[in-house]
Amino acid sequence: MKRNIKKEIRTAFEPPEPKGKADFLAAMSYPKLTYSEFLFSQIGYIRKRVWFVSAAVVFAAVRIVYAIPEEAKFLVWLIAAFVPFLAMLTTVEISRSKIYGMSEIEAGCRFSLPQVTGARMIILGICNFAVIITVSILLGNHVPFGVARSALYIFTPYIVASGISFMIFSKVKGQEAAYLSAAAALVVSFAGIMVSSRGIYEKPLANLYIIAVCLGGTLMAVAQTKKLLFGKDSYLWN
Amino acid sequence: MELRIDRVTKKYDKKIACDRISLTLEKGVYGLLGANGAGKTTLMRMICGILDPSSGSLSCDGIDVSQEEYRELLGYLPQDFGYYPEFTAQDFMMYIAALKGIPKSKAKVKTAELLEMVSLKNEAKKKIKTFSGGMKQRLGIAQALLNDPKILVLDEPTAGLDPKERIKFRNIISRMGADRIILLSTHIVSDIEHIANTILIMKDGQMIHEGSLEDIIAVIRDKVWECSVSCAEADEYGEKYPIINTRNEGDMVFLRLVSDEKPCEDANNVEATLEDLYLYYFSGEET
Repeated sequence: MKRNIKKEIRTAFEPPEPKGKADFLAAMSYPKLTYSEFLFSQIGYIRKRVWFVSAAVVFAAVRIVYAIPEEAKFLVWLIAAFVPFLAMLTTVEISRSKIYGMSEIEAGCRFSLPQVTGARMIILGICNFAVIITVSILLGNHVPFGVARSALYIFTPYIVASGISFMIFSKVKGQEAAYLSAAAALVVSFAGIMVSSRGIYEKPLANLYIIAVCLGGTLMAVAQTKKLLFGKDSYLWN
Repeated sequence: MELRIDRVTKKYDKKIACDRISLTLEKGVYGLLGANGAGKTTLMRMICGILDPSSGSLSCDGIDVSQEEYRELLGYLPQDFGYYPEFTAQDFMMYIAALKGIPKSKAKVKTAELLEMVSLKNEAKKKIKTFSGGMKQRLGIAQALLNDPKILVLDEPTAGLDPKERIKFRNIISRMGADRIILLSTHIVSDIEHIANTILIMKDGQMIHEGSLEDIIAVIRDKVWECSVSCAEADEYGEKYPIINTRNEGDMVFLRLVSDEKPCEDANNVEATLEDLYLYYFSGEET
């Protein structure tokens, strides 16, 4: 009897229309995303091509080192010539809000534009750092100048291309910035090839020059990153 | 809930885009009118915390507009916005939901609900790059509502919408205005006339009028006239009075104009509208 009472009431009476249901639901709080959850959610929005190029660099290093270890030295120069393009893809990805005109919408959200840009920087920075370290360790064990110098030769063109690319994005709007950034990567890559083909790395003072260039590139990248994260007045008045 | 704008000024080099604007906005719909370059977008950007004022302050119930807590209350539709080329309407909404800190499960439900509200339910899986201007605008409106904002800032929301969509949008905004602050700017004066409880008029960076439709129109009440005159007289009147409307009627020219006194014997005094006031203030300026 008791078991059926609910069913019987339902059939006997028409349930009243809910009053204020929408207001009640709207007033209910729900757990919001934390910054770390937001950060993880952003991994899914990084375009596949960045992961593909990163993986390709590591794969090329592994393949060649195990196939022809005596050519590892050559591969250091090859990867040093290739990483500016990885840097370019990374900066394009970080700055894509500006390229595609999403900055203003993103800036008005709870996790605002600097936080979105910061999230992309953290994700891609970790990824690129892992690529450079992995490749440097892999190659450094097969070349006479070791892991640290391999890392320096690979990291320098990467950070210089990143610095220039960020500078371009701070000054140029839209797709043109991406094209200019690609051109800058090409110039840095070509400069790297020219330097390595003249055997400059073997010259006694070369490392000091490279360290100086690396520090210059790092300072430029840091300054531009700061501008990208904290510069608000990038919206031109009408 | 109270949004306080206290002596806010924004300067760009020598140009003053907003000049010592003070306002207190409470629940309701506020319509912002002004010609291009009047400073509407700059003011809206400052209200959204994406542009810092040169001086003055903006806060809501004591929360500064630069704080995350404030942005949690905010929904914003910019005048021009882009989208990532690979995004579908659903991807776009889910992405913005993540930026608004809405968990995925709730975001899915809210996305479906809002896409249906803006009549984009059937286009949810289509790439935005295939959308018309009106569809993109409707998507922009939907994203602004994702977090059920208590402060909704809409910069020209009806641009690109067809009349049917505009009326639907107006009804939605009217309904929502009961329990939140809505500030919208548009050049379509009739939209503001229909939905705004308070009308704000900006000119050269300054707020020149603030009040209800009746209060605002009082400025030109009994000063709007309609008459039919010859072509030569029409030219003469054009130099003498602000002309609201002109239409050729055979040999004669029909004029709607603003004048303190009866401009000619045959002139009829007519009821002033917000459009009359707008054209009275901004005739001769780029709109």
